[in-house]
Amino acid sequence: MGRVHVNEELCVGCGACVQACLFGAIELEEKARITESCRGCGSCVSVCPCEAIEEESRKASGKDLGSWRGVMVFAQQEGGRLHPVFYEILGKAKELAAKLKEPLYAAAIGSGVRDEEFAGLGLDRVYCYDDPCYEDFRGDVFGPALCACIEQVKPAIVLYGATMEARALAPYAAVRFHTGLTADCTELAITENGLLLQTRPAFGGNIMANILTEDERPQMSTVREKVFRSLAREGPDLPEIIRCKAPEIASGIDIYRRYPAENFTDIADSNIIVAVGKGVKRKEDLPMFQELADRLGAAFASSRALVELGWMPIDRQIGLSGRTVKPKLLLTLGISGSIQFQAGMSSAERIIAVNRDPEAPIHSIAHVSVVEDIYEFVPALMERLK
Amino acid sequence: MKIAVCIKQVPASQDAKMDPERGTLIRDGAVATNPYDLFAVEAALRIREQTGGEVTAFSMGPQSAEKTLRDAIAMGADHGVLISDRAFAGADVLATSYTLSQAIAAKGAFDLIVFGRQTTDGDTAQVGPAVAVHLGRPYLCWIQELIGCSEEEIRVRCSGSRGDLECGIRPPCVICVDKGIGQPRIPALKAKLAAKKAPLECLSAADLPDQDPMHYGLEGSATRVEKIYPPYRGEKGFRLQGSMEENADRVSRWLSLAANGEYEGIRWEESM
Repeated sequence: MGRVHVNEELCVGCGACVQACLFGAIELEEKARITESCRGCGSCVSVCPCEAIEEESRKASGKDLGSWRGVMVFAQQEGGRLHPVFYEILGKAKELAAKLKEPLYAAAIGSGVRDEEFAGLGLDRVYCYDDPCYEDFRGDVFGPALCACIEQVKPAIVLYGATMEARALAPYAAVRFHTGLTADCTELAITENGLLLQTRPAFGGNIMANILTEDERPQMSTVREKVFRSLAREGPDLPEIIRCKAPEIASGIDIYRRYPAENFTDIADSNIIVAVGKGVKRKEDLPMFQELADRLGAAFASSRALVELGWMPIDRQIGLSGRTVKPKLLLTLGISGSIQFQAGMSSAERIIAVNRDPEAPIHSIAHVSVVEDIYEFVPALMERLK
Repeated sequence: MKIAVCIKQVPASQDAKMDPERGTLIRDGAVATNPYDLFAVEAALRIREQTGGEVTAFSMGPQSAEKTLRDAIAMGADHGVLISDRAFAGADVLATSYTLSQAIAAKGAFDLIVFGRQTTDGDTAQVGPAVAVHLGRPYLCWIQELIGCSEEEIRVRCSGSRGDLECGIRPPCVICVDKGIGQPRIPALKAKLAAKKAPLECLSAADLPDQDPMHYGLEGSATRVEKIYPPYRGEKGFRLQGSMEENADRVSRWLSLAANGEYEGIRWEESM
C-alpha cells in the first residue's frame, strides 16, 4: 500500500485513526490529516468507521508479476563445498515452494563447484556458475552472474544465508532489479495472496515487523545462520544441473592474498553457554564470570553491549548481528534481553536468566528466571560448584 | 582525492518500544550519530591524509541530522551536505540508497565514497553496496584495516567467511569500513565550537538530477511494513522465589547436572 489520505467529506473527526497509527503520522484538528511520516501500513484504513481514508494510487512496477515463479536459494561455495547455512535456508525454501506449488532452485557461484553437493535435497534445478574468477568473493563479479541467473530464471523469491559475502551480494541484485531486500529475517511465510511475508526485529528495539515486497520481483531476504533448521540429505538423486556462463567482467577489485584463518571460537558449537551483558560493570570483573563458564565446560559469550565496549571479541557475541545459538543450556548473567539479543538465542533448549531487574525482557523468555544481582549470585554459585 | 562519507542520525538508545495500550511506537527522541559512521569519517580523514584532497560528509534525514554533519566537520571533514525533504520520508533501502546516490552525483565527481558497516537502527548493512551499484562502482565491505592508499588504488584487509583477504580496489569506488580501521579521533573543543558555525549545504528534492517523485520516499520503496507488533512474550518458564542462597542451591544443582551431560536428570519444575 502507498501513502493514504483522508477524504474530508467523509471524515467526522472521531480520531480513531490517530489512535491506530503506529507512526504518529496523523494529526487531528477538525478533520484528520495524514502527515509525511506515513509509512503506508494501512492500520488507519481498517479502523475508520466512515471509510474516509483512501490509498493514494501508486505507480505499478510494470513487472508482469505472474511470470516470476519459483524459490531460489543462493548456494554459497566454500572451496567446492556448500556453505553450511545453505542447508538451513534450503529447508525453509522447500516449505515455501511447496506452499506456492512452485519449483525450488539453487544458484551456485564459485570455483570447482561439485555436483554431488546438491544430491538428495529436493532441488528441482541448480544453476551453476563455475569459474576461477569466482574463487574469492568480489561484489562486482558475483553480482552480474547472480543477476544473469535471476534474469533468466525469474524466481518469485530469492533467499540468502546472511554470510558476509551474501550480505554484500544481495544488495547488488536488489538494486539491479529495483526490488526489495529484507535483511536478517527471523521468520518467512507465504501470505494468502502468495506474497513472501518477511519478519524481522525492527526500529532498533523491541519491536517485530512484518514486511512485504508487493509490486517488485524477485522478493529477497537474508537469514542468519542457525535461525532455520538444516535440511538433511535424503538419497543420492541429483537435480538437473545447468552449467551457465556469465558475461566477462572487468572487475575493479584485485585480490592479493588470503590471510591464514585465525583461531575463531565458535560458541554455537557448545552445549552450555554462559553469556554476560551490561550487568557486568567493569572489564576487570569478567574473569569471575569466565571462571564460572570454565568450571561448567561452557562457552563464554556476550550480548552486544560488551562487544561494543571492546571487552569481549565479536566472535562471542550472541544476537541478531552476532551468532545465533541453540545450546542445551544457556545461562545469561546481567543481560536485559533486547529483541536483537533474543533473535540470537530464543531457541535455546533451556534458558536460565539472572538479572536483578524483574522487568527485564529476558525474564519472559527464560525457562528459569532468577531475579538476583549477578555480583552476589555468581559467587554463591561458584561456592557450590567446587 | 575527492572523498564523500555518508553518515546517519539514529536514535541514541536501542530501546524503542511499543505502547501496548495505544499500539504506537514510543521514541524517546534522543538522537546520535550512528557509531559505525564515526569509523567511516575516520577512514575518510586518514585517506585524505595520505592522498590529499577533501572530505565531504553527506547525511540524509530531517533537519536535526545537521548535528551529525557538524560532528563530522569537528573531526575534520571539509564540507557537510544535508539531504532533506519531506519527499524522502518513508524510504526503504532502495529509495534511500537511490536518494544518496543522486545527491552525491549532484555534488560532483567523487573518487571515493565511504560508509560505515551498518546503522544501529536499520542494521541491514545494505545501503553502502546499494549506492555503489546505483553509481556503477566497484565496492568492498567488511573492511578491517586500511593498508595503503593512492589515487590508483586503495588497499585494504576485508573479512569473509573463510578468513580475511587483502584486496585492492580502484577509484572511483565505494568502501564500507568496520571498526578495525582505527579509533575515530575525538574533536578538540575548539573544533567543535567552530563546527557549530560551519556553513552547511542543504539539498532538497528539487536539487537532484532525477526529478521523478516516484523514485523517492515511500513511492520509491519496494518494501513496506505491513504490521508492527511487540514480540510474543509467552510465560514459558517460572521465577525462582526463594532466598538468594536457596536459589543458588537449585541453580547450581542444575548447572552441575548439565556440566556432566545429564540433561535428562534435570527436573526443571522441581519443587522448592
